[in-house]
Amino acid sequence: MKDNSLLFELFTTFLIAGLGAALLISGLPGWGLIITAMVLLSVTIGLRAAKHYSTILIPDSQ
Amino acid sequence: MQLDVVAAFFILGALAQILKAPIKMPKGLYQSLTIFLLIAIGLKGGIALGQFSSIELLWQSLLVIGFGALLPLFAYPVLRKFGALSRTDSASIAAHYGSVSIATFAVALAVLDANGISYEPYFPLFVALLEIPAIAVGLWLAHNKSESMDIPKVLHEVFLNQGVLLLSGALIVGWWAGDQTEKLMPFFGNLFYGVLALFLLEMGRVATSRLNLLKQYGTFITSFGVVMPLFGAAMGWLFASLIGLSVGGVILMATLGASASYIAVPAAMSVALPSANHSLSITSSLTITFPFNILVGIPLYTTLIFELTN
Repeated sequence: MKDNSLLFELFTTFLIAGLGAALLISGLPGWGLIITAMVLLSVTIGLRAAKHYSTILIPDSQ
Repeated sequence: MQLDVVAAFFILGALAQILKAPIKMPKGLYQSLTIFLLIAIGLKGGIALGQFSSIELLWQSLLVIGFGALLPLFAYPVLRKFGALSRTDSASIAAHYGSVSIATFAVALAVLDANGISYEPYFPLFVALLEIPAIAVGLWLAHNKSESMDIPKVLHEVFLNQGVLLLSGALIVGWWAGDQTEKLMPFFGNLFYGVLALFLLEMGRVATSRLNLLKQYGTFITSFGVVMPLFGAAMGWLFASLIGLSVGGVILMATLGASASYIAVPAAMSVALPSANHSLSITSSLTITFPFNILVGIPLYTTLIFELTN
């Protein structure tokens, strides 16, 4: 099944990183957006990984 | 553009919470600081309103109301389609993002003042006008014939909540009293930035204390809480340019478009849409969007608009 939420998260992360890079190339401050994109990517991957491993390690007791 | 000194207090509050330092403001003081900021901003805008009221301002005000109603209509389908949120939750969050945050506005004012960028002094009028339309649109989006609504109670919350009442009330008092307000200004004028710094110290602590809720609500809301302010800022920028505001005015409108309410809308929504997940919408607006705007958004909108307009 298509994960719309993941698509949205990845799209926004790359959009924000792209905007930040474009600003830096133009000589404007884009570091804030690049750092934000890195945090978003970490949250997207980190929380999904944590959820995945918790379901493997703690099987449903019922 | 470097981080403003008042925003540094937000980081201090966040660090104190992360390090579990025992810094906690009494709830009554936090409430008092909120009241102070609302009255101070309203009074300042009211005095300016007395000097600048015109037919053009009336037209601008009507267009601002339309702008406030428009933003939730963009947020709602994203929340429904990509976030797979319920109709009620999507409408409630969309209303938060259509409305505005007074604290974010106050920080933007501080940044403009620190950089000597002038703006329309009656701007607090637009802030008061932007508080309400998004709530009405949110309720319309959530409208469900099977769910009854206590209309008088909802109207009471919409028009008489702390933010709308104090900001509009202070605007009227400032407009009516004019020069007489000078005697209040040693308190509401000179202390403004100090009070804002204290307020942000507590906001940094409160926003960080809710971070663990992100694990519960998932990753979508984090992305939405960052991308929606960027979209709102772009819309605000476009709208303010179309209605002919000054550079400072464009920056303030972009900031208002980017901000999300965490006081007025939650109060109205908890009465009008009791089945909505209010913790989710406050987590999104307070824990993600507010810090993003304070630390990244406002310096970015200010530099970008200032550089590209000049």
